[in-house]
Amino acid sequence: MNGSIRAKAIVLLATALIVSADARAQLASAPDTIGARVQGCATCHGRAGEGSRDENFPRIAGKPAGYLFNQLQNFREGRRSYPPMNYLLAYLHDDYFQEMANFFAAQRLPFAKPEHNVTTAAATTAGEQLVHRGDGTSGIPPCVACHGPRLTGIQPGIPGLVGLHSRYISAQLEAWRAGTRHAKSPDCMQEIAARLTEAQITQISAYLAAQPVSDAVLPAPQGTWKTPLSCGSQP
Amino acid sequence: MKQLGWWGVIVTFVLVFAGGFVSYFWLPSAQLNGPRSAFEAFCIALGVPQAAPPSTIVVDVAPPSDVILTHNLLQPSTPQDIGHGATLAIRCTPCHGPTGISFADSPNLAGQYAATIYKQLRDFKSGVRSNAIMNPVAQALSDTQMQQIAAYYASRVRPVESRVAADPPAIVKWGAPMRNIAPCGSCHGSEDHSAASPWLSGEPAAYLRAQLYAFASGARTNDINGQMRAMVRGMTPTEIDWAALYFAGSTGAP
Amino acid sequence: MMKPAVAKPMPLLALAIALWCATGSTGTRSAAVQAQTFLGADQPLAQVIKRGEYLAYAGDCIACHTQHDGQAFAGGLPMVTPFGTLYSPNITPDSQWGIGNWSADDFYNMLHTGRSRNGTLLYPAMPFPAYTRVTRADSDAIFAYLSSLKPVHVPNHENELRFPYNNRSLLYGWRALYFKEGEFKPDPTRNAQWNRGAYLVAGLGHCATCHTAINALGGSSDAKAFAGGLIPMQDWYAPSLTLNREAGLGDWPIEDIVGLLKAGTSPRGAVYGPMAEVVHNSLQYLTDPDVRAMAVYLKTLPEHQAANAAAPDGATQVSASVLAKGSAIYQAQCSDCHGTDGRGKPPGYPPLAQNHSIEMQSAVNAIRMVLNGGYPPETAGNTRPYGMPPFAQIMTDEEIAAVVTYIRISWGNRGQPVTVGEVNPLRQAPLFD
Repeated sequence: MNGSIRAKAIVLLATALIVSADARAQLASAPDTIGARVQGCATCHGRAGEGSRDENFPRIAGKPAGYLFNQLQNFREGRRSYPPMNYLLAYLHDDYFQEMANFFAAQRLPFAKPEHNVTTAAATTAGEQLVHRGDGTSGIPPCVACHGPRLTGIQPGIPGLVGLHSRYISAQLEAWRAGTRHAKSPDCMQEIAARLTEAQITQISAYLAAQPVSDAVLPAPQGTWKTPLSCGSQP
Repeated sequence: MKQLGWWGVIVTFVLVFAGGFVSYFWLPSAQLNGPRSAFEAFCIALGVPQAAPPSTIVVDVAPPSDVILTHNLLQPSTPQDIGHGATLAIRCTPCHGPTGISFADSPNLAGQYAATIYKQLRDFKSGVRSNAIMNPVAQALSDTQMQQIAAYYASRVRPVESRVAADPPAIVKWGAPMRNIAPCGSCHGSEDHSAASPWLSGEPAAYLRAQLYAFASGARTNDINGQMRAMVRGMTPTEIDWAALYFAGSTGAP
Repeated sequence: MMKPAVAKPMPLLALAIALWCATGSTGTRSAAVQAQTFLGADQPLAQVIKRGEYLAYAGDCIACHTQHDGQAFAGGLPMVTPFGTLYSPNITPDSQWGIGNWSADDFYNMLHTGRSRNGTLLYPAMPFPAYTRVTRADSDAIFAYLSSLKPVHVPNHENELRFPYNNRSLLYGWRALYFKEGEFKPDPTRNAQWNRGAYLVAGLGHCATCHTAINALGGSSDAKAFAGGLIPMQDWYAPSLTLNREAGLGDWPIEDIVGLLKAGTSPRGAVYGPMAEVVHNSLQYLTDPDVRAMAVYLKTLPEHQAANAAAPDGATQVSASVLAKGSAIYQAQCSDCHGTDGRGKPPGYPPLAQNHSIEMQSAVNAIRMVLNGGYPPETAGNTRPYGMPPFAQIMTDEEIAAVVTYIRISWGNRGQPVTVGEVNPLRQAPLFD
């Protein structure tokens, strides 16, 4: 009688230990990676920054790390106003921003297909003129002068302009023109956007969004070319 | 008695002719851009329509807005519309501010009439009103979404009027009747307003000025029946500046 | 003996010089001068200032007295209330707009009685009903610290309160109902650690200001202190710190409470919304013994037995279709981080099972987390926080109601279902101003 009770007790105890060990083993921690930490960005910017079908959210994968860092700072400091971003970033610090920026800058992901353009051929031609040759009479430099001959951007702080939705581009240009988006001074994009007319903004946005992208499009290394304007975001 | 009678006749005739001269010739001639001849003055006084004055009339070839303003233009908004509008309006915040009050020269939307916002969104979508960013933004919105955004912004608190109660400038207070310019308050009044005429107080001065110039030049064409264009065409640049500054809440001179 | 002609103006001159000295010079009085008025000679000023800085962290003064893009303690932060908008004043030692002409007595009286230097009654947006408990020595230390800051010459913004709330004499009535003046009196039946915790929580920490329900007059009842409440205008719910079913610290180990308060994260959950600000700007700077004392005190807050009665089973009130929808959304969007079993991967991905913030009576926080996501604050104890993404722009009200219902009733959670009518209004809640 005693032996069988003892045996049952031992079996019971052993089962309990195994079960509880099992339970403890299942309660793992979240992966200790930066990728696991930035899932807070996933619903808008994609799991690895590839963007989403929603045209309001830009692709951030493969952008220069310095540019992404500046934007994270701009949202935290209020130079860019967008409540969901201002809220998410309010209590995070610069060193963590750098880590996040480095993560997304290092992502190499396929681009979405360029936009099926709904604008006229004349507008696209005008856009191409502005992007590649600027407008001397209005003092508008060509976009390629800073953003690169293939619009890839350049490290550390100038982003590429291909692979973005036209609505996002025109929103940012208009925000600079209206004075609601700021960058660190000297804010050269504000200077340039202030000289653009609305029609020019539409043309530029439509042209850029229609450009084909190859997955080899990466920001050029720092110093590949000299920018005509001095900008607070680009040393 | 006979003398009085003759005098009476003479005086009556004199009064009739003097009155007739004043009413039918002198006063009409005294108008700005007045008639070129006495005959024209007489005809104007009788109300005969004249030939069109020369050249500075802008012939309107832009298509009118397809928004017909009736009292039931908008569905009555429910509280849930405001919630949906809040989420939709997140994408508007980069230019129009987190609470509908812009930090720069884009217009404030907080507290704007729902019908106004709805009409402008419809006009941006159809292209009757043209703006580089608003046209693509509005094209992506359905009618229901526009109504929800309008309901949301209409429910927001207006920017605080910081203006010390100052006397409005003459162009705002009286308009300019001889130039067919009504006082602004006749449509944009704070006590009552005509359909979809926007609330103006607290809007950025640069925005108001830009819109007035756009109406004056005919670049903006979505005003109902061309009323704004007709009026602003007759305003001087100084008057435009005064009006913009007044509604923006400034007490200073342009 | 001076000639009469010269002697005549002398008394006037002496008086003028005396007055000039008494009113202080054009700039701020130096902290050294301040120190003389209230310190004993045995405490070095630098030490007092350091202590004052620490206590200012504990009181989280900087949160209200600083604008988003403004200089620290220079005031101007708009605080929207149901009565209108209040603007915090400049508390740098500026002689015109700040506290440069204040004395330590003035400062203590302000904290203790809720009256400004000139006798003006303060609006209780300044939580003097809590700060009244601060001791004289602590008040002096905070004053020394503030006086040591660089003065910022920024004018104070006029309050914009609606009639009749713009009439300060109404505050006499408010104070009669809701303000009990008095420094903290240690409880002799409790030990030093408990008393320290009580002093911090009820005094400088002013936790009850948010964690107690506020009525229409902007006051709160002592009987309901710490029992939780919706923060007006901000639309976050400050959970009860007493009940077991809500924030329910009764079953939390002290370590977890300390972790939550000091690092902003714990195996049971992390801080978001207004509490993220509190941890970031205030609690993370407190010492471990102080935070532990606060945890000890909080764990002894009396439970409200009546509310602890068994809740109706939420699961029985949910239709099968809502449950299925919620479950499908959960598997697709949430289970990667929070686990199919709701246990998460703490501390990075918090558990939802038996998470009091999820199952408590108010669904506001659970809904807002799904709508807006969030990152816990970066603190010394959590230098690389894990973030939750926002779903407001990709989920409909029905989907959010379904998934929040699902997590509130699953895995043994005792929460109630939520409706679309609860989700929708929170889309307008202010996110960041």
